[in-house]
Amino acid sequence: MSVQESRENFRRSRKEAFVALAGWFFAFAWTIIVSYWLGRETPAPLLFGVPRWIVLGVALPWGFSFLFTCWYSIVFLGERKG
Amino acid sequence: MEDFKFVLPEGSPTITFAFAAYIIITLVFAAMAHFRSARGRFLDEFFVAGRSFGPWVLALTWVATMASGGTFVGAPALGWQNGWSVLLWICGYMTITVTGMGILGKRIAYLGRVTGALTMLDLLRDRFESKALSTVFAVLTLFLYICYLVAQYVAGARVMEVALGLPYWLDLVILALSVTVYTAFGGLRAVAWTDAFQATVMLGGILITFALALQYVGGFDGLNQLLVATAPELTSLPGPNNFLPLSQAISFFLVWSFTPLGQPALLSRFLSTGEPSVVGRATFFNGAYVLLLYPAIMMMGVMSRVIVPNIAAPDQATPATIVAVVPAWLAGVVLAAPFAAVMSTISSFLLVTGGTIVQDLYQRNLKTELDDNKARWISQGTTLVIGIVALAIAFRPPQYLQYIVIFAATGLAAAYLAPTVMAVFWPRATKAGAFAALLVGMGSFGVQYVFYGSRSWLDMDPFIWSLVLSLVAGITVSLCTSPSNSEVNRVWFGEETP
Repeated sequence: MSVQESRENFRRSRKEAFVALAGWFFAFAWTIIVSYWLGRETPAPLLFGVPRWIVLGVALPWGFSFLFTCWYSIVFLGERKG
Repeated sequence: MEDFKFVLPEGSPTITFAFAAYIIITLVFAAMAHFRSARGRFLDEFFVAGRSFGPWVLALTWVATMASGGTFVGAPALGWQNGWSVLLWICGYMTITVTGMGILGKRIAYLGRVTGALTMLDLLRDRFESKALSTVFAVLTLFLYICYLVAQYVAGARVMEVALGLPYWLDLVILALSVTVYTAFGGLRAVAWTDAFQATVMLGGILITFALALQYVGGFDGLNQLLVATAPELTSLPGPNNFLPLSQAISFFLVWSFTPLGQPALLSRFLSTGEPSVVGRATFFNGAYVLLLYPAIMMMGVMSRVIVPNIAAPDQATPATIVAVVPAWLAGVVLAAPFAAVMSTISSFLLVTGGTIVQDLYQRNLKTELDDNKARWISQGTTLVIGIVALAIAFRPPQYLQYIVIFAATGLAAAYLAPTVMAVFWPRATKAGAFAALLVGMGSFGVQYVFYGSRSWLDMDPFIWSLVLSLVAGITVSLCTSPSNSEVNRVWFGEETP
């Protein structure tokens, strides 16, 4: 282990953490805003047989979060060795 | 939908056979791990499995540790009570893989390799050069994790009691003996290999139940027509009895996303891989697993409201739904899913508790080095003793146990998270700052919990405010005290020695 390697690992890890936090914040904001914007009507209007706010406010951001996870894990982390 | 009378086919041969087969397969995995682990240096093998884990095992052991008995019983019960709003309640899990593994995972894997740390407290001790800090954390972890172990023993024995029809004490003994023995003799490798098997059982059990339940209610259209006709508030926010107001939705998203970063049982898994790039691939597998498991569990809970509307208590929603929709010959396999979640959590917490005593309290504070034979004897003996102590308490669990368990789940994270993040990402963090973060995090959580319960200022979970206060205290005190040893900063952050 060299000083150079330690420094590289620290900087990369910090960058990876910031990107993870940015992805988290996007999912958080989307989910809360859309769910509460669309979800207060009773009974809830349906879309594909499911309450519309679930499709647009939970399922869709969850799907995007998974795509983000794929990109983050395979492309973003995958190209980094340290 | 006709009324459902909750009667489990107690002790039916298929269920008994499925449970017996499940326990035997688990023990076979543990035995294989035991023979494999006998080749390396004992403490390295016992606590970090020789840092040899690949992405599959790392991902599955991480998620199996995270899912407990409550995931399979308590969470669907909330779905039965509150309808679709429970999906918003849980959906902090959509980012749990990226926050849990991306922020700390690779960094901890790397630091574990370069420092030789066997436990998370090893890392904190080396970073802040403080035995006192790790001793305080060790005592805290020991107390809270033993309480958590007792709660999991009780939950597992209750599942067996209902499924097999055996007396509670006998279920407890079977559960405790099997898990304690394989953890004590197989160490982390046995825990992780059985976790991987148990995670597969969990996912299989839930997906089978979900598919059959959806067919039973006539698809999503049928489900929602029944919900709208009987209780339309189950389809909208904030759910019945103001279950999830906006403040609580925000609060739970934050809690589910960030508490795994403060759990030693989860963080210590990253020490078990010597190659940080493994964490990247594990993150992908973990994300896929979480995507399949958690929405299915919660929707099963929602469907249980129309499948078994007349159960005596919401906690019966999972077993009652399984019995209602799953054919008898398959019910035993599916009922093994919550049991698998309990077993995987017990083994992981047992190992961390054992490591806390052997590595963090005994070896680091009282002795400098242990030879292999002595290390084996002490580690296995300690794990067995902790398992037996937890078993003894579980025979008559204290009434306040559930409160301590809730405290353990989020209170420990409130104390642990800020010092850990400061340790691995901030070269300017000092020992005094870490102490301040620990004391303020735990102290403020305790005060809020006692005076406000689970809803503190602005209706948020006490964890959130404790984390903020802990970070503020840690940063302020660090900036007011002398910087850390330059040699530590050279190894950890690559800072040039002046």
